Amino acid sequence: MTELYAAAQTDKFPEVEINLSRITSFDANMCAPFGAVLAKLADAYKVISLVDAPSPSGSSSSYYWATPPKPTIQSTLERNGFLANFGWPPPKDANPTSLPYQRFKLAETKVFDKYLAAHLPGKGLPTMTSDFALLFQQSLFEIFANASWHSNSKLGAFSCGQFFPMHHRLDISIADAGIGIPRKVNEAFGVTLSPVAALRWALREGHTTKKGLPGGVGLKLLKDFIQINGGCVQIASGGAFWEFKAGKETFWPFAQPFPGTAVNLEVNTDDPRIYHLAVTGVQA
Amino acid sequence: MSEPILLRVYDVVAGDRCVDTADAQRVHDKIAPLFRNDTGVVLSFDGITMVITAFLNAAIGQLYGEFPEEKVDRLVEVRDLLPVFKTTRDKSREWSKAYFRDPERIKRSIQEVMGNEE
Repeated sequence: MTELYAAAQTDKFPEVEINLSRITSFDANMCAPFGAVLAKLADAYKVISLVDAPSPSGSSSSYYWATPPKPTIQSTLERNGFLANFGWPPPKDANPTSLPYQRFKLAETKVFDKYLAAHLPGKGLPTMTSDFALLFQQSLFEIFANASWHSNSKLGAFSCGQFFPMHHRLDISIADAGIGIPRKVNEAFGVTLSPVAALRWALREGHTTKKGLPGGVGLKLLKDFIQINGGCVQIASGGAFWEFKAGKETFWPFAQPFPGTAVNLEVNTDDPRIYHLAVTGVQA
Repeated sequence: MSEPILLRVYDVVAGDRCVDTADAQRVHDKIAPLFRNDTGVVLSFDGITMVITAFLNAAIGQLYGEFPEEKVDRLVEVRDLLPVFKTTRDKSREWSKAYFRDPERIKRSIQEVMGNEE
C-alpha cells in the first residue's frame, strides 16, 4: 500500500488506473487501508479507476477489467462491497464471512457502532463473557475514536474485515487518511522525532497530542487478549510500523510512508478458551 | 453549596452509547457552569451500555484542567455505571489528574525521546 501510494501520488499522473491482474492474493480486510490510499489520491485531484475499460454492451456494470484479477480476488472485492465504490453494482449476495468495506465520516461513531453490531457477530471470535465482550468492543471503539479525534482526516475512516473459517482467522482493519501519528506528535510538540520514535512514544499509556484534553491510546486489553489468543495487532502510521505478536513488540520504519494510520487486528479463531475479566486483566 | 443536580447521561447523549466526541463535550458543557456556582452533579449512567475512555476524558477528565482537583472530586458523583466500566472510569480519572497536575510531564517525555535519538 505504501509503495502504491508513493508511486501514484507524484504529479506526473493525473489519472491512476490500478490493475490488479498480477495480484495473487488480497486479504479482504486490506480494503480499509486500500480505501484510505485511494481516497487520499482522489483528494489530490487524481482520477482513480480500478478497471481498465468500458464494459461491453449488454454487461450490467459500466466498467470491467479487460485484464481481470484472479476470480477469487474479484469476488472478494465485489462481495464485500469495495467495488461498489468504483462503479460496480452493489453486491447481490453479501458475503456472510465479511465485515463489509465501509467508509465513515469521522463524526459517525454511532454508525460504526451499528456496523459492528450488525457484522461482528458470527465471525468466529472466541467465546467471551458478556463483560469481556463489552470491553473487546470498547477497544475497537477506542481505535475508531482515536482516528476520529486525532487524525485530522477530512476523508473519514475506513473499515473492513474478513473471517477465514478454513484458516481459523478473523482480520479487522480500521484506517484513516489523516496526518498519521508520527507527524501529529512532531507537529504538536515542535520536534523532529523519527517516525518510529514518535509512534513508540504515542503508544505509551497516557501519552496524547491533544492540547487541554487528557488521553492516550487504550490498547492494553487488546494486547492482553491477543497475547493469550495467539493473534496479532499492527499499526501502520506515516513512516512507522508497529506489531504486537507472541508477546513481543516490534517497530520498524517504512521506506515510503502510509498516508494516514491503519490498525490491523488478527484474531486466532481456533481458540477454545473462554475469555473473562480478572482483577489483573484478561484471563482465559 | 446548593443541592447537587441530577444529570442523566442517557438524556444528554440521546441514547445508550457514550462513544461520540460531540456528546462528551455536551456532557462537559452541562457540568462546567454548575461548578462555577459550586453546585455538584450526580452524573447518572443509568441505561448506558457502552462507555469509552475518550468519552470520559472529554466529559469529565477535562474538568480537572478547569477546576481544582479537589473541587472536581467533591462535586462529581458518578452513579449507575455498569461495573465492567469502572476500570475505564478509574483509568480516565487517573490519567486526567496526572495530565493536569503536571502538564510539562508530556513535554519532558518527548524531550527524553529526543535526547535518546541524538
